[in-house]
Amino acid sequence: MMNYESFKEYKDPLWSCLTKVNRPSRYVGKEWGVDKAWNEGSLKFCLAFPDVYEIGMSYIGFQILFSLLNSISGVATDRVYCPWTDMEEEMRERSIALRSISHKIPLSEFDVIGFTLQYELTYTNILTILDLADIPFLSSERNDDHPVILAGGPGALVPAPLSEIVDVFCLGDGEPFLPVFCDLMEKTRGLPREQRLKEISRLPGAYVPLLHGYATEEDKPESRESFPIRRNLVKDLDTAHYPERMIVPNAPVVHDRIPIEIFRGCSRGCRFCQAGMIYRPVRERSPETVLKLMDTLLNSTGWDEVGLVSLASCDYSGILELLKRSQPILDKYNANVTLPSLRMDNFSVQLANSLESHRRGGLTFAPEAGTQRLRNVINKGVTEEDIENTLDSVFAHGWKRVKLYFMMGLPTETEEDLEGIIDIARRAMHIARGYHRRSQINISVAGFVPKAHTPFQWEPQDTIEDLSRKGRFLKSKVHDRNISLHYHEPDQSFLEGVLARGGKELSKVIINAWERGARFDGWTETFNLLLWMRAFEEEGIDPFHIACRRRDLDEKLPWDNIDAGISRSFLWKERELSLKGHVTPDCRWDNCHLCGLEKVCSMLSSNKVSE
Amino acid sequence: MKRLRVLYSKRGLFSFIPHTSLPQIFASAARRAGLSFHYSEGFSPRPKISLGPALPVGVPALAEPADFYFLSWNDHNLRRWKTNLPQDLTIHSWGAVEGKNLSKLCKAASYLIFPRADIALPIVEKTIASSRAGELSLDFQVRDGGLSITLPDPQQYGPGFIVKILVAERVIKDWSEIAVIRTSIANMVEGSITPLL
Repeated sequence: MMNYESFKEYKDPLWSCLTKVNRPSRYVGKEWGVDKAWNEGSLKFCLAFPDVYEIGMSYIGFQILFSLLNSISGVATDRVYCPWTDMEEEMRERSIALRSISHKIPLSEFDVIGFTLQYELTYTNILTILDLADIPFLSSERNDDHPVILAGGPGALVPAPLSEIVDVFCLGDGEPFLPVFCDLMEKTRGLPREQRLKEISRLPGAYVPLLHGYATEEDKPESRESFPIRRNLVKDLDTAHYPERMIVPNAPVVHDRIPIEIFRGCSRGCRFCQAGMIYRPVRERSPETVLKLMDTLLNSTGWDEVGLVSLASCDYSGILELLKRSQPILDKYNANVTLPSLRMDNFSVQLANSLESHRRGGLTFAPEAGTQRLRNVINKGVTEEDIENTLDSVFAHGWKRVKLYFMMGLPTETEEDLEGIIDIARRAMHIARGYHRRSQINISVAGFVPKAHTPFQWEPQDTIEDLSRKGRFLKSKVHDRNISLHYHEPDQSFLEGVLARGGKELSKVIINAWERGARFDGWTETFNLLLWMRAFEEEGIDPFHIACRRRDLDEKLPWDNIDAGISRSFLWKERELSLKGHVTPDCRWDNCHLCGLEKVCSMLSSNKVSE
Repeated sequence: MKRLRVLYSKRGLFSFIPHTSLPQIFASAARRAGLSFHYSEGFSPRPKISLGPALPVGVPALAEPADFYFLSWNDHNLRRWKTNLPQDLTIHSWGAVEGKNLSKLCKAASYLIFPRADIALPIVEKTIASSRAGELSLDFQVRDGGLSITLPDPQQYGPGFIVKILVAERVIKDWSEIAVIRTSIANMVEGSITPLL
């Protein structure tokens, strides 16, 4: 008969931890789609997402990179997510080291751990992962036996705050970089760490702070000539790697569907938007490739929803044709399609209306600012008329819930602009009442955080007090119980702003704050600014000087060693136009504005023509 | 529309995947295998699937029932379905069924209980025997270093019911000190235990 020995699961060191934590499914793994056999002799690469599983599993980048790495022979790939604080505690109590999620390999045994830097407030989670794997925090303290710590994603283009922690930053698109990087790692196996890093530092788009030095210091004169380091770029998405199988999570995740990236980059030119600057130029995947992937992935994953993903999916040229041609494929699998990131125009509403899946909930739009003047300043090409027409169209089509995203603390903002937010909410409600008895308007207001590589990179961020005051002001103006207004925690926006534009001195602060207990700073339930303020104080850093100060044109910026593609002169010109309230139209339908990528752009378009 | 009943097991760390996630996991595996569901009516149609009584996370199970409403199936589809499931979620047997809804047929469930850590079996046995669980039990035996118990109405008297008794009597601190495994679920017809398949 069966005895206790028949149930090997109870021998698993994780078992007891999992009986005690919330959402134990985060740590289980065992998802469908992880099918490459684990070969001990391979180069072991762990993709690390510095936040919880359900967020990490919704990130399209890891689906692409996991599949890309697995396609390289001699590379074995696994993933890890940051254990929530309850799990971290259980692991420490039982002295359990962090292991990868599928094959349960101790993290310290990997050759490479590759972090993605999607959001500044995940940086302490990187340290949690390193610490639970018994890997020293500082690049300079790691030896030949330790994994190489790689980091990519948008945060890698502003690497200074993590530059004493990360060994190698991968700048720009990962697709061209990872195969050559893995090849070099394999070829240099057994060589001393320093020599390996030296070889890696010569790869295009690799920034190795230990060897290259930093933007604002002159301590490595021999590497001056390699600055600025240019980001890598996929030229043609049709020939770029895209997964034909994906990891299908067992537990609910944020976006539970097949993500298909239909284009990369956006040239709308919103002046606050880092993604709109650092992913240029626009590169589209052809409808043929998208349709083929759709069929293949619906078949191989069993998901019944496809998300056509990009920074502004309605901008895809021929989106109507693509949707029309998708229909027979979707019908075959009884699946539907979603389009995230709707623009505020009638076309988007018509599109959404044609997609059955959007019918479920409400619609979300981002006017970003309350008045036409301020929308011109930020180059959000949305007019009062667009807003009215869009809202009218939304409610006329039967939707009863609308969510609107705004920002407070934008450059040149006045009280009138804040009142404009309330005014739009009221007008929305007025329009809604013309169609429905019951409707709901949700307003979400984020504190504006100036980001590197944008026209606002020189601008001061509002102080915590300013943002709190503005948030309270906005809340006090809402008297309709069918309008709800929520604003982001100003403390968190402040820290995000410091980490977004700080220099290499922040590495020590991040470590200090982590040691004091800072974890999951992006989550309101765990965030604690006090820990950070003590860390800043102890390291002798003034965070207000980083976040809330206006910079001069000639100030050396901590990210000057990184060439994200857009030129400094373009950014400054955009800043000047912004302060005058002049808009710059999208270069897809207007002249080239010489943003710095014109050479790449003309090469891409001539390629397309010759095809 | 045809109704297929399966018995499946949930083992290893997969036991920590919540019960409520299983319909989607089974459904996506079935779609990968080329099976077509009968969809529920209404605003957002979903594949029609009924699971047996909810099982808390952290309880391995050997033969849980679930009913699936397919447009049709054949042996080839079903075999492919089996191989398309995530590791440690396994379908062991299946058969076409008719009649009452699954939720009306799950009248009894059997469990194996093993103390973990330093907990002694006799005290676990004595505590359960003299509790409401002992009173209700349809079958109660000590064997192979553990307890085997069959309780009525798994919706109400599930693994949580047993663990709660042991915690209340201070035999164990929490779930980490006990192993509870659900071995089977059955119907009761005229007082005798009847298999679901």
